Parts: sequence; C-alpha cells; structure tokens
Amino acid sequence: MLEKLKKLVRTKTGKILIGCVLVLVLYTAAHSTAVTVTNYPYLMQLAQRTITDSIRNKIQEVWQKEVASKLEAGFIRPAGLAMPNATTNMSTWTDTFISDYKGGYFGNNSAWYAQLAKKNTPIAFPTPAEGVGSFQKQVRDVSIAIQGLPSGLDTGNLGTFYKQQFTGRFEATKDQAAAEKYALMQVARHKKVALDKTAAVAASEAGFEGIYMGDAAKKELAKINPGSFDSISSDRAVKDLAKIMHYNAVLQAQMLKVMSAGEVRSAIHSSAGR
Amino acid sequence: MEIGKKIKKLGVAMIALAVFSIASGFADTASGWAPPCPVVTDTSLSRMCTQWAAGLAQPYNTFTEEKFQIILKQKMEAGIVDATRLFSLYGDYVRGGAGMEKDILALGNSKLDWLKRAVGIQDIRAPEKKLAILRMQAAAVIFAGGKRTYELAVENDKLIRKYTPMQFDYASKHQVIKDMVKMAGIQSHAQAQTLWLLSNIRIQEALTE
Repeated sequence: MLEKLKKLVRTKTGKILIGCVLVLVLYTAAHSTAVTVTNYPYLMQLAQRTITDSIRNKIQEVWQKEVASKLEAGFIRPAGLAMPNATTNMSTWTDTFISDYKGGYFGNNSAWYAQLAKKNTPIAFPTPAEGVGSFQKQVRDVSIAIQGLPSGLDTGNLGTFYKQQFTGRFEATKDQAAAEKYALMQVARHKKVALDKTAAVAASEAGFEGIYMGDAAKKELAKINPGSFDSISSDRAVKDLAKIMHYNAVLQAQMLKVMSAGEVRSAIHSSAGR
Repeated sequence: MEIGKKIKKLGVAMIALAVFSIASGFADTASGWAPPCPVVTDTSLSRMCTQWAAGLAQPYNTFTEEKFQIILKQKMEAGIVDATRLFSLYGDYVRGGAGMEKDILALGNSKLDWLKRAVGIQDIRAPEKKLAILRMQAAAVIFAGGKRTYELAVENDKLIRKYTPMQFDYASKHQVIKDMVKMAGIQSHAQAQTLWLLSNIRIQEALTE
C-alpha cells in the first residue's frame, strides 16, 4: 500500500493531487482561524436603532391604550336616559291650540267649549303617565275650560258691538260724548278680559309642558345609580358629567319658560281689572 | 518547453483554487452555518445586538407600562360621595308618584267621593264645577308632590352636609370627577322635581285667579 502511494507521489497526477490536498488544508486552516474585524460604527448604529425601535414601540402601545381609554363612551347611553323633548312633543301642540283659539274672547268658536260642557265627566287633571297623546288631549280640555265661553264677538263684528253699546247708552242718557266713552270702555274691557284668559291658557300650557318634562326627567334620572360612576374610569365619567349637565340645562331652560309665562300672565291679570 | 508546462500547471491549479474558494463561499452562505467564535458575521452580530438592546430598553419599557397601570388604577378609583341612599329613594318617588296621581285623578270614583261632597259639587257637567274640580285636583297634586319634594330635599340636605368642600382637596382629580357627576345627577333630579312642582303651582294660579 505504501509502495503504491510512493509510486503515485512520483507521478505527475499524484503531485497534483497532493498539491490540491495541501491547498485545501491551508484554506480550511485559514478560514477557521480567521477573525472578522468588527465594524464598530455599524454596531453602534444598529444598537441605537434597535433600542429606539423598542422604546418607540412601547410608547406607541401605551399611547394606543391611553387613547382607547379616552375614546370609550360614558356609562349613560342615549337608550338608557332619553330626556323628553318638550319642544317636539308639547310646544307644537300648544302653539296650534293657541293659534286655533286666537281671538279668545272675541272668537266665535264655542263648539269646543260646548262639547266640553256637555261631557258628563269631570275634566281629568292631565298626567303624563298615560302617554303624550292622551296628555295633550287632557291639556287641551283644561285650556278650553280656562278660556271659557266665547262672547260671540270677533274682530269682524267689533264695530257692531261698539254700536250696540253706544246706542243702548245714548238712548238711556241722550249724552253722545258719555255714550261714546262708555262704548269704548266696554270694548277695551272685553279686550283685556280676552287677553287675560289667553295669558292664563298660555301660562297653564307652559306649566303642563313643565310637568311633562319634569315627570319624564325624574323617571329617567332615577334610573341612574350614582354608585355606577365609581366603577368606571374617570375618562368615561367626564362624558357622563357633560350629559347630565346638558339635561340640567334643558331642565333650567324649561323652568325659565314656565316661570316667565306665569309672570307674564300675572302682570296681565293684575292690570286686567283696571 | 518544460517551463511553459509548469506555468500551465500552475495556472490550472490557481483557477481550481479560485473556483473552490468561490464555491465554498456560496455553500457557506447558503447553508446558514454560523462559524464558531471568534468569527462574527453580520447576521449573528445583528442577532446579538437585538438581544442586548432589548435588555437595555427593558427597564424603560417596564417603567412605561407600570406608569400606565398606575394611572389606570387612579382613574378607576371610587369617589368619596356615597349617594346610594338617594338612589333608592328616587325609585320610591317615581313609583309612589304614579300611585298618588292615580288616586287624585280618580275623582268621581268612590275613592274620592268625600271630596265631591265636601265642596258641594252637585252637577259636574257645569263647566264652572269642572273647573272647581280641576282646582281641587291641582291643590291635591301640589300638596302630595310638595310633600314628596320636601322629603327628597331633606335627604339631599342630609347627604350633602356630610361632606365639606375642602374634602375634595384631599381627593384625586379622578375621584373629584366622579363626585361631580354624582352631584350633577342629584342636582338634575332636584331640578326636575322643582320644575314639576313649579309647573303645577303655575297651573293652579291660572285655574284659580
């Protein structure tokens, strides 16, 4: 075997093979013991970028959670607390009624009053418990009762009324100036009475709007347990605070409406007898 | 001639060496084999750097997370005002109110016939009598509602007197927000009751004068 190898070494092929083996050994040795020179600027850049990415990702994650927390809706949902809208539910009806009955004492529309008088039942004091439709009908009955029986006069026959008053007085006294003054006073008195009654209707209608809203608001607000706010985040509680303050403002506006309508009626009433 | 052959052989050997080097380089890269230490490639350097950087950033990230959790806990902290008693009362008032109103509105039924007799109402068909009944109903509603409102006001007063404004200085902002919502709720409820009562009074005035 050894002789064969020696023979092979002596040949050209053998020399080439040995040369190749030597080169392979040298290459392997060189490769396995090589030391790569570390590129420190690259390393620092890489480290900086990696640390920055890690911190930025964390900040973004926390920020997203923070934003999600701030965007969360409050505890009071529209379905849970629906503030009644008196403007939609009541005022339109009230305005229509006052418009229909406009003219008041001078109006000639006694049909409603006669119909109300014929009913063999008392007028029910309106309550929102039976729903807004029924409440509005009951309120209208009260308003008709307050308005009272129309005199049969209207702006169209005001002249006739004046003439009747004047003629009656003139025939009795034969004093034209006194008869004119008397007839004018009668017209003015009737106007004042009509205004007083219409103001009473407007004040009571505003009052019924207030009852409707106050009653509904009490029921809705009674659904909210104040303790519920303790178990939600302050971010959500702030939104509920705004909602309640909105309801508060609505109630105050309605209160102002009821008070001012009442005061206007009171002022008209105090001057009606003069 | 002999020299030329030698040069040829040397050339072949160099080309073979170059081909071998290139081929082994490709094989090394393709296999993903990481050379033993102290040889450092870009890949292993990045990997080690990422681990090192993550370790370095960890304390800050932990701090950020803990800070967020602390703020979240503060936000969830309960307020100092306890209005549970009032809440239980609200339910009673709503239910009681409906019952009371039904009784009053049952005028004409046997339940309240005494009221008709007391004021001598003979014929309820007369519009004046109807107005008289309305006035009585309004008075009864105001009396009963006023009594309820007074009771509620007493409870409100009791509750609110338990706390002083200065107490809120010692509570966190988050607690104060919750207490503000509660107090706004109490205020709104009281306002709703006030509106209801005021409206009844105004109606009674319009019916009476």
